[in-house]
Amino acid sequence: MSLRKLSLEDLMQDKSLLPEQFQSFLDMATMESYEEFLNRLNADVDAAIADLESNRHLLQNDSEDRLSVNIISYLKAKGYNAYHDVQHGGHVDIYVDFKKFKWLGEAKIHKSYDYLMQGFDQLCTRYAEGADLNSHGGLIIYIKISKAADVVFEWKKRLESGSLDELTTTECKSKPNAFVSCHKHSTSGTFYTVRHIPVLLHFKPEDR
Amino acid sequence: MSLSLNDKVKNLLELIADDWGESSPQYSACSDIIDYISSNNYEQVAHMTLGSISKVISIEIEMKLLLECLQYLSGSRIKVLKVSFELIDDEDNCFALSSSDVKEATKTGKLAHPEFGCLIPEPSKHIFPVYSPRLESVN
Repeated sequence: MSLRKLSLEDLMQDKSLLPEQFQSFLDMATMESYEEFLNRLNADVDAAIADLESNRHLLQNDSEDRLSVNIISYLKAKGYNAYHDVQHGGHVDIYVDFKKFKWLGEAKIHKSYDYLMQGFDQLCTRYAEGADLNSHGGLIIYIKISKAADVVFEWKKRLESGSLDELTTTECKSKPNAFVSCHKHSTSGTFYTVRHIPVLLHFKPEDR
Repeated sequence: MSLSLNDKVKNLLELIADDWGESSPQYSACSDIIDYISSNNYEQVAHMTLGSISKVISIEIEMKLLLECLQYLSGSRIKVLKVSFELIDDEDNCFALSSSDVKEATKTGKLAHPEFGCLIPEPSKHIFPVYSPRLESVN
């Protein structure tokens, strides 16, 4: 590697660096707002999940905790302060902070829709206080059965038929099958946004 | 009771070993960087470029890995380094840039010269990341 001063242009032209890696470096180095934090974190969580999905054949017997630790390890390597099972009104599955910004994630292996609702309620009513720089969280749904899109569709329908205060749902622009809900948080009285993120872990090859 | 420098370094290296594994190139590079900044006066390490940092790393690494390590060491978990950006113009004058300036320049390709106000062509060629130690972590 050359020892001369290296500009941003030099980094962009470096063949060992993918554009996404350069962008990640730049985003983390220049992050100033909660919105920028969320955009970066969502991309990093999605990349960690893509790693899990590509190794799903090895993860069939892994527990929720074991799967979540993989995501946390990925985020730590990116420079986030990320913890598993940390005390935050209870033992939250995924705790992430960077600078003054915070995000909490609850992770569930899909067993039933009541179990997913339990995770959503834990996130929204136990762990998250819904404050300004903690107004977004995530429900990570590990789906080991087939047809994940059907699971997400049904989960969204059940969430919408509940009694959440001023609930709205929208498609997630950055990840197919994921969706975003927003409702009035009971503690803060302000809106709390949850990104519902399916992780496709079904593995049943039929080639032999 | 505040920790000694040796204890702070030891704690940092334990965290890094937990995160990357002691036999990883990331651990090796990060420990070389920490060793360098903890064994020099602040003034000597207050303005490190990518080139000067790569010089203290004892193993051969690509830019991808160097940037990965620097992003990790500058993050909220380890907090060893602080990254900032500076503009060096054609006359070799140096100006500190804000995060907003850097984002705007990389997004739009436009950056006004901090002193003269004129637009700088191809600003990414004139913007350089620089690193300084975070005093509370290692000094």
